[in-house]
Amino acid sequence: MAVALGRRALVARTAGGRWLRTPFPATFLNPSPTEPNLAAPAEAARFLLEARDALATGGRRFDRAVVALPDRAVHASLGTGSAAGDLRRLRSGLVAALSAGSGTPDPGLDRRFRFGAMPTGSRRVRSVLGAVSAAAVVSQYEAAVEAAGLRPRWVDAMSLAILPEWLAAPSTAGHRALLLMHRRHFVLAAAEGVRLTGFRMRLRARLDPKPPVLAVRRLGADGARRPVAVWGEGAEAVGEVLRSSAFEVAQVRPVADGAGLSSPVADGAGLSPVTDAALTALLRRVGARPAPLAAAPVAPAAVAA
Amino acid sequence: MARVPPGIQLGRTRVPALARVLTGASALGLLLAAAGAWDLWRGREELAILGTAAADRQPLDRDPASIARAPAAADGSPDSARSREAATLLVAGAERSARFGRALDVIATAGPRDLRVTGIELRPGGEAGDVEASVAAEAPTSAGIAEFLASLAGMDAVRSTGEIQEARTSAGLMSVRVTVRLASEGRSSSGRASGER
Repeated sequence: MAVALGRRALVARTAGGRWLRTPFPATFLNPSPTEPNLAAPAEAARFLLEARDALATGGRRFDRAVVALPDRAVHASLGTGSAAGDLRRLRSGLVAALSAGSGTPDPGLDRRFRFGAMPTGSRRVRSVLGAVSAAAVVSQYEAAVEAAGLRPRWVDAMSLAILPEWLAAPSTAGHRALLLMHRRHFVLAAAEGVRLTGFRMRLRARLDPKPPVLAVRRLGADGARRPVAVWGEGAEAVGEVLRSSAFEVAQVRPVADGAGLSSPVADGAGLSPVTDAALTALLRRVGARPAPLAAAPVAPAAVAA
Repeated sequence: MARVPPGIQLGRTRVPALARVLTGASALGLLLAAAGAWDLWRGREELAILGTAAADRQPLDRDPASIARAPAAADGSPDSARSREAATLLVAGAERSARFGRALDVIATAGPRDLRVTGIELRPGGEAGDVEASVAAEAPTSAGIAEFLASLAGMDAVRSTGEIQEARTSAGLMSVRVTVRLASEGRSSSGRASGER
């Protein structure tokens, strides 16, 4: 199964398309790449256990999970080259950026952070997306997952998990961009072919369309014409502004129909296409073939049982 | 050719089952190699003991350690052939040093003072745990040879003896080659046969 932990909710889905969304209490999860995120890890484990039980079919419960962390639980940056030295420099740069913010002392710093890298491009021209998070942060999520009887198979940040499939997707455009919208932040990725050429993760005020539009404008400063795909919360508004600014908007996937669902889920919040794409990508990453989401989530009664 | 990677992994690095198996197999291989190296080293020591250079030059009443340190013959002489035979036995795992050591002890204690053992060949005996030895010895008189053979035949550990060749050397010494079959330690007291001289 695949689980995504966000500020507002836990979303879990199976490869078969069964899914559920469990809202979190306010201040339950506070994403940070340096400080523990979960206010009550035992409670998080309970939520995960309930999701695991609710999604079990035919008496068979899941024992492994892929995990999508909140984007803001990691610090990511794009570098060039994927040789060992390039990766070391990228890692050190990311760690230094984090430690400068947290005041962590330098010696032995790298060992206290988890680092993941994603080289893209051809042999001749390469770029690498690197991400770090404090080991204590990732361990806290892993411990909660393990406490729910699930073995974490792959742990990635939600928006970052989407990028490999997006890069691999066939496209006629040489240059393209993907804007992944979340309630309080957005991620903008630009690619040329299968090589990632730009990456931004920025905060925004609640659903404010201006910061992502500004980021897309800056991206276009190089003169390259690139169609933009906009997914997630507030995608329609951002897409509208981009179109009015003469940007080519290739795709808009808002929350309402993002996951192909017939209606919003129980608490009134939709399931973001970003969340679904991330969970689907993570399931594929470990060899599963995820089916489309069922139209309705698993009933809350099943969770209680 | 452009290649899209699987993605970023922030989770604990988990070793795939196949890699774990390969690692285990590598560790086992290293252990076996170490064991093989140890056996070869032991075999080298056996060769040093069995080497006729040691046996030829040094009477058995000398310090056994000094005999053990003597190098084995490496040329094409019969002594070298014996060493190669012993090496073959050792590498095949047919024998262990404890058994050879015991056989050498038996032969050394059987010889009278004026007898000089000039060569010993050791090989597995007919039954498991037995050792068969061919001993070449020289003595000033045939009485010395006879005493040696009688001593051998009278020992509990010796199952049988047999003379292969007797001659007088150019130096006037009596030379003899005999075979001695030594029972394994567990059967030495009950399984002894009488001498066959």
